[in-house]
Amino acid sequence: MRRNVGIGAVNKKRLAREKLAQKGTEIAEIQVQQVSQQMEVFKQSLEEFATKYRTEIKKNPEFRARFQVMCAKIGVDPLASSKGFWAQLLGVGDFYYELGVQIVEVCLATRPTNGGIITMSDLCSLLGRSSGKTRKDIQPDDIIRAIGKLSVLGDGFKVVKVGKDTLIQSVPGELSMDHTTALEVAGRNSGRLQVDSLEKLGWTSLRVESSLDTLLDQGMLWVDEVDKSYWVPAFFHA
Amino acid sequence: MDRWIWATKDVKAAEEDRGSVPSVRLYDGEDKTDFDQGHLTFSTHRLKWSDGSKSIELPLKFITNVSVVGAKFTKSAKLILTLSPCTHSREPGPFSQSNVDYVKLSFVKGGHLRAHGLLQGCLEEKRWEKGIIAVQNKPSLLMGGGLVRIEQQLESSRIEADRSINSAFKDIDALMDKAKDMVTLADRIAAKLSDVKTEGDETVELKSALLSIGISNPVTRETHGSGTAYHKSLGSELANMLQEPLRECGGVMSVSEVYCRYNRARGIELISPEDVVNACKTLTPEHHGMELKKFSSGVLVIEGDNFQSIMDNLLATVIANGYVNALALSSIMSIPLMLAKERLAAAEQHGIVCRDETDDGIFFYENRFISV
Repeated sequence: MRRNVGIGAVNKKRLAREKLAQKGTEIAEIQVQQVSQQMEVFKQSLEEFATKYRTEIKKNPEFRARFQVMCAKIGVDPLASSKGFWAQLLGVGDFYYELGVQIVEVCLATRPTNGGIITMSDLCSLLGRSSGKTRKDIQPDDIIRAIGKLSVLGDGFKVVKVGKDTLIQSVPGELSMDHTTALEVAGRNSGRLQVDSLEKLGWTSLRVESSLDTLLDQGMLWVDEVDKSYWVPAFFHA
Repeated sequence: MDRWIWATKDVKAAEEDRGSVPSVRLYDGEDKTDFDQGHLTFSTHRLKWSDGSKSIELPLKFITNVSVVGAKFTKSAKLILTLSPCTHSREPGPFSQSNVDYVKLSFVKGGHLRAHGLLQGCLEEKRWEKGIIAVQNKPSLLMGGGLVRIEQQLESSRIEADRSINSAFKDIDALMDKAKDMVTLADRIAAKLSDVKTEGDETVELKSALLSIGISNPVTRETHGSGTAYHKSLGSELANMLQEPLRECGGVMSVSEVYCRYNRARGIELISPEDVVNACKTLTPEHHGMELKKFSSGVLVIEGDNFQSIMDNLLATVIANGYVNALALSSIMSIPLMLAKERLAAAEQHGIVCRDETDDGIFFYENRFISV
């Protein structure tokens, strides 16, 4: 008599599987309940926290930065949804979304001049000027986070490191290594791009021409027709 | 009593006398000492006892606790000072050693409560630890006192600010600890959800809950980023708001501009860029008269009207002008340069216009090849 074969065994196995599946859903249900409960509890702590620190978030950049770092550590994005806990109770959202609006406006306004790239320092100072006293304490960290959120709008908002400068790009398209090198060279020279500096790097004339053409097309590079010199307005200091 | 030392004449940095009480007797533990009927002076750094012929002092740093014993019928009121163990390197004092670690101050003529207040104040201040530089000359103590007080205030407000930042950070940490458990649990469930094929009510609830905590799970994004009732109603609101401006902009507006306009109009409780994009995804030409379009470069726009009519318009403009470049088109049609570029690129992809790349820029002509 062999065990575990035959109709009986098959039925038993099927029953066992069903029972396990049932148990599985039960456990899942319990877990869902647990999470909901935990969320309620957490919501209360967050409310307490919020009453104390709601204004602090707006006023204190150190506090904001620390808060963001801690959120990132536990894998939470407080700016993900404007209907989320964080935005509703703490008002974190408002700060960064408003900053986002201002960044878009500043970038749009300066695009005709700089072709869609602007240095972090210029952006900071223009933002500080645009909305008066409450904005004096905007830090690069705040801007970087706001831009992280703006990138979803599809207009190509991103932060680009060019040498020791940080640039904010507000037009779509990727800047290749060559382009960023050319921009860096210009940045070191107060915005003037000396072609022979690129040639000194070992670039062929074709390579130089191609990079310059793309940058000119984008509007990030301007050429002075009189003496055929190249300039990057983004690096002009106000 | 062995912590008491013979009084020194020097004044410590930033030391101030706070007050004094007459007729005090010192006890070594329970034993009376010879230090009777003396004047007890409380300064910020030490306790000084003097009866005219003898003067001794006790640095406040030795005092660990102060307790009050009220007056009884035959006994006067006392303050009991518990002292920390003696450090070996100390200046000479009246008692070389003592069996007990507390002394008593007996207030024969009263004043023990005032003394208690003064002493507590000095102990809390702990000025001997701070080492603030102050004016040393006794005669100008009045002016020195004023400056010192200002410095004190600055120092204490700086310490207060430090303390409050530190407590703020501690609060953040505490909050995050609470969030962590919740997040790990939610994450685990989210991972399981991706396996579950059936969409029950709880999963729907859970997914939107996850999103509200801020867990960016790809699962939640796809199904519940754009489909929720919230985004649908937001979409309708946007559509209403955009009818007029869209017409003014030539029927096309970038999503960034939508984001700015809407939040500026809203003023408070702004919405995130993601929510704007997700709301735009719910727009349909049938219901809202506009829809979201994505160009190959990644640019997102809201397009009103029919695509075909836009293209016809474009072609008519090109023919009327012979040729256009993006800049010319943007000024003729009153649309942003970016959009002019994109429209020309889209028209080119549909074979309506052809490009001519020259040194002066890129120009677009009517595509005559198709009519050949």
